[in-house]
Amino acid sequence: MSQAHTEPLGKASEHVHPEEQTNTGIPNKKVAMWAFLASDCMFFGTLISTHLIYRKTTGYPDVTHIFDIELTTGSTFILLMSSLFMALAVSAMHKGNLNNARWSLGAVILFGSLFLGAQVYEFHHFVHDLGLTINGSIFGTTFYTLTGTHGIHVLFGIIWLSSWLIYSFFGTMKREHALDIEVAGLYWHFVDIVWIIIFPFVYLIEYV
Amino acid sequence: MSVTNTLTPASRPVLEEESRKYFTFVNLIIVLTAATFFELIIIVMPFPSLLLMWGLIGLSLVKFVGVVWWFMHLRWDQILLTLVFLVGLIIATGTVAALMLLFEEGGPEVAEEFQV
Repeated sequence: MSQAHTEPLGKASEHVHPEEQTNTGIPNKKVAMWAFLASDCMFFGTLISTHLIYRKTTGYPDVTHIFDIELTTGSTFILLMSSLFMALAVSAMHKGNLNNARWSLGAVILFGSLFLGAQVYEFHHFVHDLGLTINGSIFGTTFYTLTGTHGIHVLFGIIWLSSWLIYSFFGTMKREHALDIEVAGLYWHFVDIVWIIIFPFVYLIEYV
Repeated sequence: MSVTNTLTPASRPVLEEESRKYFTFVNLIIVLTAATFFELIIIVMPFPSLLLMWGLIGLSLVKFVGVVWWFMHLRWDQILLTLVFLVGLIIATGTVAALMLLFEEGGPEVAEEFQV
């Protein structure tokens, strides 16, 4: 990638961030985000366990002919790639390389949108071609609630990162905002790890 | 404009550390991708269900730890952040495990009892 950047390095290192002057020595935004992610773990934990318990106790139908596992594997790969670019965007921000950070953010948004597009296609196919609706069966209810909630998280992440990308074109995003991009990145990676759990325990488990 | 032209002594270690992270991230994505395709492959293999389940749990755990430890920077951040996240993770995992065990023993009868 290009090494061009829009702001001299070292400038920000002389600037003391107000966030750094905390009792813990960790920026409050970062602690708050980790605390939120910890609570979101519990939220998704309940959704996943609800799906698994109803699967066990109500005897879900065989859905292997409904799932398109190749598409879902592709979606998983897409989300993993978005995580790589998110990590590179944060790294570029720490280096003060705004141009690289902008390209990486664009890639994250692109991959996130592709994932969301695949999910919309999957839902459309399930509802219109296979008749699997949210209120038609318990499987439909737990499946759409879990994967839909995850999809909404992805959508929120895309909007958040898109706003930073737009800011970058108006000079609002500077090296001083590396922490803000890092916090947004934490959220994005969390969305990825939730999918890492959903993929085997909602999709692959049906083939076991 | 070259990066090195504007380097200050203070920013040089940051650049070196971030450059090292680049290779870590690329290596990690290769492992994560391989683990994902391995998950897909093992479900079509004629292994016993229990072995498959533990295989999927193990691979998910590897991917989960990889993302949290390296991509989310816990490897390089203060221990407090790891502890904050672990609190939520332990409660979530404990809840899932407790519910699964509860419904494992009771089966449909327990589910019926909890129906509204």
